[in-house]
Amino acid sequence: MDRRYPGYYLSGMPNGYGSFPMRKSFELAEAYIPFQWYTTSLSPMEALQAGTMFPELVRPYEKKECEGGKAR
Amino acid sequence: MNHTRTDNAGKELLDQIRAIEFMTVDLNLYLDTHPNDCRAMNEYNCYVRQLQALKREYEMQYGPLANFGNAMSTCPWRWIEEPWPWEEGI
Repeated sequence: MDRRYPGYYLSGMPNGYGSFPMRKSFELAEAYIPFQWYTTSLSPMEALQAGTMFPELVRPYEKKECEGGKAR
Repeated sequence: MNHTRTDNAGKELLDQIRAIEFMTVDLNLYLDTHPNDCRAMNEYNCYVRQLQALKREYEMQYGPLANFGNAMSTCPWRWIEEPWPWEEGI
């Protein structure tokens, strides 16, 4: 069997996945992320508050109204 | 028991230590994947130096931050001084 497709990996498994209908056109997932470059940093106290010293990685959790109900 | 750890200057110093130590953690993680970034490494070394100085200053006045060989003690043994961190709030 062709090693490039999931059917190759799945056929050897004992739990029946090998018989799962798998089209040849499906491929295993591949992830890509951009490489980070250090430009500037927050002050130590700001960094401690934000959970990161990199301004580009600050991800504050904000309460938002969501569909079908109020924000919890 | 000595309760000097609760004074304001001690708290401020401890906050500074927490912030500087966080910078060393984050720069450390960055350098793990960017080992040739000399600027980040210089900053890391600079924060390490600051952290060591701040910890020394804190430990002289308020007692050890860590035990098992990380800091010397005056007599009586300072590690068991109260309050413990969880007894004084942040």
